[in-house]
Amino acid sequence: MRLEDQVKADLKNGSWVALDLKLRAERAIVKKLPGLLGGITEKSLAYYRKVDVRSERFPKGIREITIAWISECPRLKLAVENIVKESQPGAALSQFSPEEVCKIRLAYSTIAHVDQKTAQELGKSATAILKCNGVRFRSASHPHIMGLILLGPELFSNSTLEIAVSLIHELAHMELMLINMVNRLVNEEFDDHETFAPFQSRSRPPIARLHSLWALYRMVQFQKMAGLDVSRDMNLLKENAKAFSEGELNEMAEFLVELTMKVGA
Amino acid sequence: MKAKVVKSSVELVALLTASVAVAGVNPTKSEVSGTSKRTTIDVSRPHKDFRRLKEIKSDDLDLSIYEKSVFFEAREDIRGQ
Repeated sequence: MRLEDQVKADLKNGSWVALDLKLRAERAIVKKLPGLLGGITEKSLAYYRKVDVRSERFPKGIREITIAWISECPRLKLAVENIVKESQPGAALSQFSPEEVCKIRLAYSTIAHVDQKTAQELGKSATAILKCNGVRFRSASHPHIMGLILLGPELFSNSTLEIAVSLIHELAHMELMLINMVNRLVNEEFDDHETFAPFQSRSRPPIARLHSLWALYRMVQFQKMAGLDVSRDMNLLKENAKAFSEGELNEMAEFLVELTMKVGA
Repeated sequence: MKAKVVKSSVELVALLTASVAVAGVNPTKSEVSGTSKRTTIDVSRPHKDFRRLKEIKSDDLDLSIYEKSVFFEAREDIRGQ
């Protein structure tokens, strides 16, 4: 079976494919950079940014959230800040407060109570969680630091459930980043084709709109499992699904869009 | 997917209360000093895909798709971005 077909079959089952594809991505990078050790974050940083952070031991896994490690990992700190500053010039990594660590742990436990499989996927796919000050985002991720989840200070004024949904949101981005390595999803001539997305009040290229849709899909899926009201995000999802022009998406991406529409059924 | 469905706000409160117990959320000395405290969630079992990985061809993945930097962020005013 082709990998693409296998991914489709797994997604159709409702499974996540982030962990499976993360491991494949690690193998693909090692093939290009033989002997490279470390997890997906170290490997993606080495491959895309030529930054070696293997000598720095940072807490691994979503359960290993600590508050005093960032100053001990200057290379990782600098690399992550440089990446975030490309979008948000005032960005600076900082330590979580003990209360913030508690909130993240509680959010993760909530996910596990709602769906153990999703918690396992998150626990094994996410490399670490970092606090980022001087940013406007609540949460963020980037393919060159694959596996890291960045949280902004604003997020912690939200409820535990909202923080849980934000973690799901970032895992969904990671999943689609990895699916995007299996299939380019957007027909090449439309890569830079920006269409106005009404609910976001700005123009965005097809891959960004697809990421919005996929994150919403996983959020709604989780919220439904938790018995929460999904009307707002479901409406956003439907609006997002309508925001594609003919010819922008290839067959695999069309499959993903169809799948997202079924979450409301 | 099988999942525990929370049917009411009462159940939700119970769930969150239970979560506190599971997570051991009170900050401890070990957390402050920089080490971490584990939850009781079991994520240690090998994923089925580890076995399948033995048959993987890493050529299946195209790393070049991210040669260009792409940043994904979620903001309060642009939920779902």
